[in-house]
Amino acid sequence: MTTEHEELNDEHPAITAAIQWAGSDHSVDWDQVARVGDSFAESLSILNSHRRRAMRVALLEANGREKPKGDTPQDEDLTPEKAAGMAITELGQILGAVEGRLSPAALGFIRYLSEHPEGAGAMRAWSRHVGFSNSEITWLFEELEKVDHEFFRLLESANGLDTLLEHTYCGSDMTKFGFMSVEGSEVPPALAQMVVRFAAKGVTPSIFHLIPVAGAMVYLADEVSEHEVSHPAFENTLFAMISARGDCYSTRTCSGKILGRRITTKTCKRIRGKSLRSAGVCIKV
Amino acid sequence: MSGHTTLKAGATVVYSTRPVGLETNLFAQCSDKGDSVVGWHYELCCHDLNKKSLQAGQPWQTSISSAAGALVTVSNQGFNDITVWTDY
Repeated sequence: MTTEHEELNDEHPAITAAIQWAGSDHSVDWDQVARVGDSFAESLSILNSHRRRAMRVALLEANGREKPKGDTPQDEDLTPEKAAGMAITELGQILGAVEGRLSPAALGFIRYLSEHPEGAGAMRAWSRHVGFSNSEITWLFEELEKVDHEFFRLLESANGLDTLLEHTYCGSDMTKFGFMSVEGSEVPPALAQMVVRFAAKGVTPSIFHLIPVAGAMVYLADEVSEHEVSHPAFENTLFAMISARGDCYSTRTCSGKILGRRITTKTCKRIRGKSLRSAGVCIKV
Repeated sequence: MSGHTTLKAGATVVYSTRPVGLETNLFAQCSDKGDSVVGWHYELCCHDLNKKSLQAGQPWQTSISSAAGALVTVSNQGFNDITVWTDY
């Protein structure tokens, strides 16, 4: 007989099944996904800091207030537009590696990250860490719920991934980044078809809807490839919350809560090999 | 100017908009057969669906400039036909 506590120490079946699938599908270049995953988190963090500032300025100006003084220091080598282009390219590389190959187990893991309270909690924490606001994350989860957490599958079935990535706005107006845009008045039929398809479900297509897919694939890549993903955004949030041992980790805000239960050497090293308190996540209790 | 599109009940059409700082207007004309409701939505984060009731034969227009380059979906939320177009 198992107690409730012991059951909590079991890995969620969606995670187990997805890792088994990733380990057995050698047609996916998991090393590449892991490498790109690191830089994707970095591009997204830089981009989001510019994007959020642009949103704030637009909001102030729309209400007749002055633009805040002191521009965000810009990295000459990585302008907002360049970071936006990189984020889209990297997202395309991650998803392109698995497009058309996702098994039911992989889709189940993606669903776990947007539907299951613990998976969604990890995804929410990761999204905050790479710069999304709480209201944006809430909007995203509501959107995913409208399509029964199957945005990527619906997109794939309409051959829409390339269309979506190709028409994602990445110009100088950062408030529009991530959403669909075309130059000129003629909307390409494939894009119009995709937008109408999602509009019928009350969903606004964007690359943000693919964030849980990217997070899931980078997680699996970290589990099954030689390349270890090391970006702090992953280590401190998504990976830590999904992969923590069957030990109890706690902070003032998640006192006594068991965050996860993976038992692999790699994750064990990640969790126990550093001060989790200083990482701002959780400490072992 | 975009071509005129007649939307049956529940149908949707997608329009692009001019970049930030430039005006784009949406036009609609309800059919003479009866009242209807036009809906328009900026395909950006966190925007609600806007709706406007139209009487039979009523012409109507609104600015959709704040989409500033993003797409706008226009839909017939009522029962009678509505013809829609933009000045882009």
